[in-house]
Amino acid sequence: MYLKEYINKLKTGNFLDEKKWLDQNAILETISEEIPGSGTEEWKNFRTNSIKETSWKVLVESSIKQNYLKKEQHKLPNSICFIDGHYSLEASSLRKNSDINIFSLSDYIYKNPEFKSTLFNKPSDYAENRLSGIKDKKPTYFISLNSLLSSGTVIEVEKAKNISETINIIHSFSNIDSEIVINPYIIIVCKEGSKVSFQEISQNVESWNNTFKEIFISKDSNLTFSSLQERISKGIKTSSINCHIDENAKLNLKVLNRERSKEDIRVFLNKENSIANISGIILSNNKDESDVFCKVTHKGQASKSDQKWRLISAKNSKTAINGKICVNKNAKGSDASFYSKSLLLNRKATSFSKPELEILEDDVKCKHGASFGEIDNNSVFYMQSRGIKKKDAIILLIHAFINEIGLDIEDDSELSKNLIDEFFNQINESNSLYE
Amino acid sequence: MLEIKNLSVSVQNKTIINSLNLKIERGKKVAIMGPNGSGKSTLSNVIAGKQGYQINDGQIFFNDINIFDLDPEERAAKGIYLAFQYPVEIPGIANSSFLRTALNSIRKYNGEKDLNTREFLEECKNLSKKLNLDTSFLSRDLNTGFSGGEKKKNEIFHMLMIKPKLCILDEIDSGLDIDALKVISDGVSEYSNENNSLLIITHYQRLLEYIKPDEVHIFNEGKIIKSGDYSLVEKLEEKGYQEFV
Ligand SMILES: Nc1ncnc2c1ncn2[C@@H]1O[C@H](COP(=O)(O)OP(=O)(O)O)[C@@H](O)[C@H]1O
Ligand SMILES: [Mg+2]
Repeated sequence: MYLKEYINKLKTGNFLDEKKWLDQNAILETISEEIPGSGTEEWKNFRTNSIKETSWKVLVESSIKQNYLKKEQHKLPNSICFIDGHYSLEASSLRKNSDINIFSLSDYIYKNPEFKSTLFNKPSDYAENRLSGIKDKKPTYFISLNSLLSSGTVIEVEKAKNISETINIIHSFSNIDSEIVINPYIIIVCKEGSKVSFQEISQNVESWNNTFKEIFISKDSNLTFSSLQERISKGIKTSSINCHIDENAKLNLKVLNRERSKEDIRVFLNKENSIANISGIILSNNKDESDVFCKVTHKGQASKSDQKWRLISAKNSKTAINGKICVNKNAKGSDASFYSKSLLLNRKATSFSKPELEILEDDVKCKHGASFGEIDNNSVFYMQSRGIKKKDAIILLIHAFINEIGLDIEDDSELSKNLIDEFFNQINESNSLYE
Repeated sequence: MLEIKNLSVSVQNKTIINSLNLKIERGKKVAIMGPNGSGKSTLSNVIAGKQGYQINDGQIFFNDINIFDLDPEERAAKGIYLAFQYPVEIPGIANSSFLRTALNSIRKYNGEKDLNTREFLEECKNLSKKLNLDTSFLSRDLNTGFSGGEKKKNEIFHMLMIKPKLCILDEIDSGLDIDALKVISDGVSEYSNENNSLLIITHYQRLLEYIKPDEVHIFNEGKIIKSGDYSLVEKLEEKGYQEFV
């Protein structure tokens, strides 16, 4: 069914019974408007023409091939798999007694009715305040669409459990139709005192992947979440992450984004001593864009946030990071920092970085900065003079550039290392380093 | 080992090296002394193969091979080593892992197999002790946040690990205290033998008191203006560069 047709059908009254917690009218209003593009501050670095110009279809449940999963693509143990955005028990390989529970969102809400009020349910809660006084709901277009179209899967980490082995979340796409919008919607709930680490990987999608993750980190719990993007050659990815962090709880968010992707991250430090450490790598090649909007809101006292970004643009591509820090009144003793570094590998490559502050409390510490540069010829010569080939020296320097933010890609994750190597091979093959 | 014939180099149409002739025999320690801005670093860089210089005339032979046909890394693999006047800071790469990459790259070029990691680390530790460097500097990022003295010691540390045939030391003595100078010159003297050669480039005589050179050239405006033995150093000490210019 065509997306437009579906939206019209919902508008004329056929509301989704199982999605009663959503303010469906408000959501329909938001997604009936035009898809945000360069006119919207948060989207100005990402071309949405190709999304606007396509007549998108939505998937009908029955057409999903449950058995589709190219096992050879990633043989990752301890995994939770999603096929075209739907949880697949058959494809998953989560350890038994893993202290992790998986529910459909409607089941979870049935069991925990109070959960409704914390979920995303209406766009105005996430609207951006404009200087003109207008509350702009446009930036919530993609979460609105996702929350309406997707049934949602909840991953719950049990109370006080410390899970040592990383859990992989894998998204596979059947790519049966290049004009389908796919909406993986994952809700992660870390119960009090738990500790867990997830690594999410999206495999090559050839249509439109509109992912939405809502993450709840309860009191005293600790979540490490790595979101890794494989190269997208044909498709497009829009992705949103909302993180809600409770008292003494900590989020380590690691992001690796590639071209043809737009990520929208919202982190809410809700209580005293809520902590978020965000480190991200944004890579782009050819004529494409990779754009991230990241907004951290300090609500709790002594809450801390730290953002470190590394951007690499090759060829004619563009990378962008828009980092917004909001400190609410009474979030005393908060500490926020944002730092980005961009590396341009070619004359025509561009990068954009914009730290933005909205501080309503006096008793805060806030640091921010952005730098831009090219590969340093003196460093290359220094390495060559020690016997390292020019090409290898450049690759080493790019690795070093990324290593600085301590994603621990050397020993931590074989996968993120492979993804970065793949990017290097690609820019190396095309000799785009020397243009 | 090294023969420079009638070399003229300019940068942005300004002549920096002017019809220079210089020969360094195997097993010899040769010093070039010259005032600031006389073209000493330019000469070192041109021998090591840095881009961005205009070579107007002349040739450089290293063991009878014209090195203008070789990339800097090929010159390194053949045994030319340059200790930088200003070593480059490279955050994000550990000193020892950089050195291992460099050594393996040179070995690959020369058809040898990769280093044994344990032996490599063992040698690193022994050498750093000798150079009075804390072993933590092996895991620190390359030259990043190193003090002036540590950077210079690290250049010598790399040299002693790489074991080149021709060592060019570009003002290795500048900004060093007496202790560091002693440690460095001991390391260099110990390394020097009848099979390798040293080109010591300096502004001051201090270092040369420790590493007694066999030949001394006084260098000004891209040219050798006087040559002699160690006694020339003493003469320069007394009279200063003005006497020779
Ligand atoms: N890349 C360059 N661009 C412009 N001028 C240069 C460059 N490199 C060296 N020079 C000039 O060449 C001269 C010699 O420099 P250098 O070789 O560094 O001298 P030294 O090492 O003897 O102090 C100086 O006048 C310096 O300004
Ligand atoms: Mg110099």
